[in-house]
Amino acid sequence: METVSIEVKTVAELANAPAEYREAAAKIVRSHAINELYGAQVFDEPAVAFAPTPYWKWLTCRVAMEEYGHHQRFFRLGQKMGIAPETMIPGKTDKRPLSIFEFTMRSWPEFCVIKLLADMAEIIQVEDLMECTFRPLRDEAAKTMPEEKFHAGFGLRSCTELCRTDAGRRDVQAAIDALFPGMPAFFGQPHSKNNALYRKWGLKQHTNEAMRADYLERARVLVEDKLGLKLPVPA
Amino acid sequence: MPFDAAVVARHAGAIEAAPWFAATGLPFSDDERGALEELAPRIARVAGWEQARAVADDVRANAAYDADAREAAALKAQAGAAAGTDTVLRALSTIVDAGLPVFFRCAEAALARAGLQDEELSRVAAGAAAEAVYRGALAAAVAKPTHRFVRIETSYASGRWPLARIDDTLYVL
Repeated sequence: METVSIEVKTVAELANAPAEYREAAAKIVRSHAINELYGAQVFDEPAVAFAPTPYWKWLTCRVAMEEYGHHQRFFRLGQKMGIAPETMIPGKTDKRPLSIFEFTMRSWPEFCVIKLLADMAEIIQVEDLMECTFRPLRDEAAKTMPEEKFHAGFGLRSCTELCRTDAGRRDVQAAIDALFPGMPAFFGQPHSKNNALYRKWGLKQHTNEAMRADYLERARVLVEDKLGLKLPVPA
Repeated sequence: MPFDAAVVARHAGAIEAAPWFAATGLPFSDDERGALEELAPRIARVAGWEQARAVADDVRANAAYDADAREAAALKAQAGAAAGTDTVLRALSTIVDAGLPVFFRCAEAALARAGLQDEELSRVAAGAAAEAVYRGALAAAVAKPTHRFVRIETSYASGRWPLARIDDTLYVL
């Protein structure tokens, strides 16, 4: 695949970049703005009610705020880039959030597994952006990363707590069985044209297939090595 | 019942300057104790952050927490009926925006003063403060300045962490 050597240091410089580059960068920013907010709305905020004590409720409340804060970061960057605000808000845009958000969360163990496995997927996506040729996007990714890592760590710690009892282990395994098969789709289709375009311009570094493979191995380590549970076969 | 978005804006505007968690671990003044006694028949001072973690993680605290959550939902419904859900959410999101960096920074600083570094507990405290201010602003905005949510918010804003009510006792760090 042809790759183009380019670095765009500021949003102002973006105006001089090729149209294909600008459109690709806008697609990534829009996607992150939509999905960070939608995730907070369908998973993090409702999970406060499921949390077992005020300690976990307040922690979940804070995590929801941080996910909302991530949306705000990408939203503000998008605004500076000239992206129409309504196209970065779920419910106001035709662009659908990621399919992972179609999972219907019904319990605290399911939320903990979402943090464990879905936030790990998010980390892999954000890691890829940390080498992005559009520096403002790279900078936002770098600011987001420590919180994303904490959220995934929260998933591991809460699942570890739950796994201290037989009933808890069964609940966590059931949640993994329900959630995980749909997770690899988070990384998009193989041989994706969008991904090829992103890599051509250095906005992303890895193919969807490579990120998916990386994810499967990291998920296996979390579920099998750390929790001693079984990772189902992905869909 | 009206909903006054300007009241919420005042609560959001006051977030930056308040001494969040600055009085945690210290003895109560007489005025403080008097204000806290309006919230529960008995007040118990929690002296340290580790004890605070245990109190916040006590399942016996759920009954009072859940009652407050129901009250917050009722206030939100009243506000929505008066001003429209979008207006209410837009107003209250200013609390989230203003509090996002401040509460965590102040909780980290308070833990550091106690010789502790704990990312998770800092977040728990920050989440608790955000929730208290959100609810306090909501209660005040539907014309209830004496509502217990406003009193709880005031206690947070004075540097305390009202952790949990278990039976008739309010535990405060």
